[in-house]
Amino acid sequence: MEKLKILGNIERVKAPAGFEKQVLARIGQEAGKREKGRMLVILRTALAGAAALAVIAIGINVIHKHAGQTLPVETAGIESRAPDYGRYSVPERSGGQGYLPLLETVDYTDEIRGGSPGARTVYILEQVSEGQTSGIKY
Amino acid sequence: MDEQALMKLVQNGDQAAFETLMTLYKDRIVNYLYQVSRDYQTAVELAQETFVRVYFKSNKYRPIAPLSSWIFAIATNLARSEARRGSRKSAVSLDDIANDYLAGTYSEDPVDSGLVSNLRQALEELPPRYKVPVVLKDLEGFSQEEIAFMLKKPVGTVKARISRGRAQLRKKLEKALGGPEAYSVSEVNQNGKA
Repeated sequence: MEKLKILGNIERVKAPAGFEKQVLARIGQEAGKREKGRMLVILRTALAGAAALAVIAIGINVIHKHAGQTLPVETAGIESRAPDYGRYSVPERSGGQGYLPLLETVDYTDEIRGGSPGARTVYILEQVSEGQTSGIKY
Repeated sequence: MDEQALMKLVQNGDQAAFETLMTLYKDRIVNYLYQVSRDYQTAVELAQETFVRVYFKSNKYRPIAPLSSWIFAIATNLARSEARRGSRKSAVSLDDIANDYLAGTYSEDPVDSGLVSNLRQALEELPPRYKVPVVLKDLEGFSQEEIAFMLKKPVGTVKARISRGRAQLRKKLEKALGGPEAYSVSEVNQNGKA
């Protein structure tokens, strides 16, 4: 019967003296570490937020600058319609600096609404009233 | 004082209650970790870490299981991590430790002493997956359900591991003592029964 308890009779060890003190000291250290870690997390988050804001601000600035230089609405199609400046002799200014002539093709076809392809009618508006004349309006 | 009430005080930051809790469990935890790691220094360090965790994680304790199961579960996790890390320093033999650390619960009879020594050796050679349930069951006296809670394994798995662990222990003991006739198989088996 004695041997039946053999597993339970394996030698047992005890905690060393001052075990509680050591644990409490470790708890104090751990609490300090945790506080420090929490502060680091807050600092890191703040820094990351500031960096993100800076990146966004720089991005917006760059986009604005880029948009100011080449606005898509103003430049659309200009390249394809650009005249061949090589055909023209560019007169030199007295200062020796060249200038580019601005050429614009103006089409008045659509300027007169309902205009017929035949001879155009010109209306001359003449004052018929007896009041002071204001001149003939064309 | 009731353990649950004690834990409630610990949860409220009562340091005296925590010290009482430590006094209640320190020897059991150190002994358990020693049986698992077979290194007293490691066992003490892991036990200290266990109580540090108990202190900081006390708010996570829910009284769905006995407090002892919860504390032993923390100790088991730490022992597992330590075993996995494999960074165990040079093992400190029990012979190098002052006698007052030993509870002296085993017989001084030379025959029994040899048997215990062989059993200790056999237990040491047991793989951790069998050793931990066997130690918890046969040395610490936990139920299979409690061990299942601690190891986060189904009760069936725990039962099987205890059974296989005991069988391996038996085999090793028979081998060490020169065959089954030198040491009856039923002795370890019966001792391990719940």
